[in-house]
Amino acid sequence: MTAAPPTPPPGFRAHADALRAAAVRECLRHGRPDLAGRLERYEAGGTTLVVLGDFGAGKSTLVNTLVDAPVCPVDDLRSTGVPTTVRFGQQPAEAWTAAADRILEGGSPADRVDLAVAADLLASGLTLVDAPGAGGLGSASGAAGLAALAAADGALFVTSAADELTVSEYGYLRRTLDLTATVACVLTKTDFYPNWRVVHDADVRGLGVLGIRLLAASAPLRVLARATDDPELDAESGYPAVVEYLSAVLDHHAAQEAAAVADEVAGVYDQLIAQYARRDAPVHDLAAGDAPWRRRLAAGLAALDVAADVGTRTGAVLDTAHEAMASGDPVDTWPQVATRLHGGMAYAVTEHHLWRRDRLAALAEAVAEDFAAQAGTVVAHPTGQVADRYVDREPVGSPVPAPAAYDTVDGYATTLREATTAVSRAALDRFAARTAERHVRRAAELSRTAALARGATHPAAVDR
Amino acid sequence: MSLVERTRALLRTAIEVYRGSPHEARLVGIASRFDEPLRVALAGRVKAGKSTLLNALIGERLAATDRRECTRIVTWYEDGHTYRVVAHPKEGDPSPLRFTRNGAALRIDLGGLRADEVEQIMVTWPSQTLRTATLIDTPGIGSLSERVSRRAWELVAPDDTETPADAVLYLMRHLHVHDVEFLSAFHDTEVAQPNPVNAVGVLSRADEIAVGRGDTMTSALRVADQFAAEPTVRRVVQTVVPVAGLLAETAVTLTEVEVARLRKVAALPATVAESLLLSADRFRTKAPELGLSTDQREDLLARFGLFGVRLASALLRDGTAATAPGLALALAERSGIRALQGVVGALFFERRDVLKSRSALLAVQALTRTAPAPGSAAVEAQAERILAGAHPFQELRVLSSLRAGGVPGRPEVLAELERVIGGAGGAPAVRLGLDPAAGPAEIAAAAGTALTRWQRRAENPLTGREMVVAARVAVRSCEGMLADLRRHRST
Repeated sequence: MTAAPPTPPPGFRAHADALRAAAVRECLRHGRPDLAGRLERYEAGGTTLVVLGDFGAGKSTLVNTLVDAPVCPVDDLRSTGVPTTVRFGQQPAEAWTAAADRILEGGSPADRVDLAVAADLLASGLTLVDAPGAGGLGSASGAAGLAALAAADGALFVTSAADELTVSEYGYLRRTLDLTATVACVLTKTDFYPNWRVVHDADVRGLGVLGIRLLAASAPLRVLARATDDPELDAESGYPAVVEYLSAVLDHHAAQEAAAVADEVAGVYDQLIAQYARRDAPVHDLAAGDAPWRRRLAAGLAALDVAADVGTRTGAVLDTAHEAMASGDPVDTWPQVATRLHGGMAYAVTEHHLWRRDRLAALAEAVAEDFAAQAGTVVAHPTGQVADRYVDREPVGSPVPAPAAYDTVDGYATTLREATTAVSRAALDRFAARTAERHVRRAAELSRTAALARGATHPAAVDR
Repeated sequence: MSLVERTRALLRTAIEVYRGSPHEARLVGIASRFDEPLRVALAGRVKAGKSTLLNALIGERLAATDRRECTRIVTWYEDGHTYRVVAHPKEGDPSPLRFTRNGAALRIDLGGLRADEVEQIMVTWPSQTLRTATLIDTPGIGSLSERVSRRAWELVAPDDTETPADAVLYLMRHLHVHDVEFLSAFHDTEVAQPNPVNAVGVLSRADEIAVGRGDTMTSALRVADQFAAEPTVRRVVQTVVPVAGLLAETAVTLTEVEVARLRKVAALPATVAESLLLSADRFRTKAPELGLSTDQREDLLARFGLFGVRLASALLRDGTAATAPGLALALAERSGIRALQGVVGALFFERRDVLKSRSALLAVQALTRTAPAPGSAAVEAQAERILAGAHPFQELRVLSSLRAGGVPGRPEVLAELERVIGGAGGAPAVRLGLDPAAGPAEIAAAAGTALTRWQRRAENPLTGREMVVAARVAVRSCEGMLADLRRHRST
């Protein structure tokens, strides 16, 4: 099997598109261009997978081999320093080369690099993110990978056949599993290590416990197989199985998205029906300042003490740093204290952002339920994915800057705490504003619908 | 009086002071150790390739490279007239062990002892290499049980206390310098004061770095240089040398049978060989016309690795190596083991007297501090005088503080300073940055120029305090070189 054929709307997506087109027509027929517009704006986001793993495991090589082009820079000396997004699109190879210095560590700092390649594999909406090496739990680069994962749909965890998965790799994998259930492991460099099968079998045993499958893949074999058009060699490379797995993930994700579209369409139909069926909806109070959903929103936000959360999480890291500073000459111990401090802080900040995101998601569900309860059946809002629509899908946190000098541990911590708390407070404000805006708009919409319904002159709609 | 003579005299005095006490035997041990070969320990994490490198250095496949029990015990390899293996249990008397050697590694029968009951195993083996250095194979640091790791650190902990080893080869695999594991390997809390004067880093399994690509050793060299420039690493080792351990071991133990098998691979057309050697699996199963059985191919992979089979067959094909000894030489050269031996020679063996004196003086001081006796205070003071005053030790101290970043200055000045005080090797030509073949006249001229330059730096009122101290030591180093030249001329 070669790569997926170009632009194949998988079954689910085509079905969802048809469903949506029919609903749009129906909305227009019943004089609701506003609802039609909303459906049209609803756009499938595609599927994003983050490629994670230790330094030198072969992540960039895996991405390049999958897309059949040297998009991500591979260097023996310098590793990938910033998460690199590779999506479908036209971009000249010079653009990739030009980006290399920004991507490889030692270049100027950038928090993300976006690249595009017209690869068959990506044509159906797959995006790959090449993450920096994990470098053990508690390293800053590892936190960057997890942060990228928070905004993605799944992960490919890369490990090389040099050795069995290490304790720190398993630790990182468990953390990955906390964030997404869509994880597969890829065993690289199987061509180079004669006893890779021993490593493979040991890894399979360990991964089996976690319910993760392992795919063996050799990049050099795949590259040659593509160059010589040798299907036997291609099968030997193991890459067809990886591509097959990615297609399955893509299909599964498309199915989930189709379900979301179906939910949305159902909601729109409900409104069309309500337009004629409901005469008297208790909707006028929905926008009131003391509506229950508003009270819940305000109380929920007040209960989210971001400063306290940041303080608790960073406090432990800081204590360790102080201890290390006290136990040795800071001049000698500073480099590793700084690295641990930086890594620990990056982790603490990432964990804090994830905590905030989870709490906001829960709050969004609760607020939506209150709103629905008050509005009655008029709203009939599918609650399945409420949280996703209300909560940011933007990457959590920005890269944490490294500390500069050994006499500023506390200053560094304070600055970081303040910055993180400020970012979180801004996110809460944004969330509150957007939630309120949505609900008030929705309330107005409902009032209009109710008014229309009272003077309904469209008997045709009642058939539905 | 030379450093060796002063140390020996001190040891004699110390034995007199402690005569008749339980410590006498320990001092006699220190004194006899002083005349024994240099003790070099191989340390590093589990699977860093310590036993493989040890075999490559000895030139025989002695140490077991698999993960059997014995690789968890500290094992000493020393020269002797007979082949002998003795276990030193933690409790009880040393007892000889039975051992067999069927073609490959030594198989030692612990004879009823458990691995954790054995303090160390002493292997006596007639060998040219072991005549110059006793090698100590340590269990891996970090990944096994805490206790086993501690044992390894106790042996090599390079702070200013008595250690069984005079010098350390610290093996590391290609890890990222920002890897948390990597940092903790170098900053174990056990190692309070890393001291780079007696340690060299080895980037083992160097062929992994570019996954066996043709230019893999060139890449490995660049990675090693990058490591060696890292402040964390500079504090612990003097330099980092890449070695493809497996290839080195095989090169020095290469057999005619293996070369004959490799010739069959070399006889294949280049494109066929390339396709065959694309992966280990392909080499196992493809090209039946090769005339090698599955077992023979498996043996070649186990001995050479994929990179080694590629390299060796290429060398035979293009005629770089025509004979078995020629191939052995070429592989040894490319594996990096020759470069490592050169570095070990320059940094350990040339400095042998200094390293051994240091070990002996530290051991004496440890004794006088913990078990004072009438007259021991004078011995301690004398040891301190030698350690503080002898020029070679001053060089080591400056080197140590230089590498720890304790001497501020312009990079090129610091590089010259490090060279002049013997950081890259003790030979005058090396210290002065001259061609190794430089004659006495050229060396004398360069040493004279360097002397003036360092005197100026030492006396310049604008020079910082640390640099003044360092520059004075450099002045002494230059004077020493000139004095040696004069002595040679007069004899």
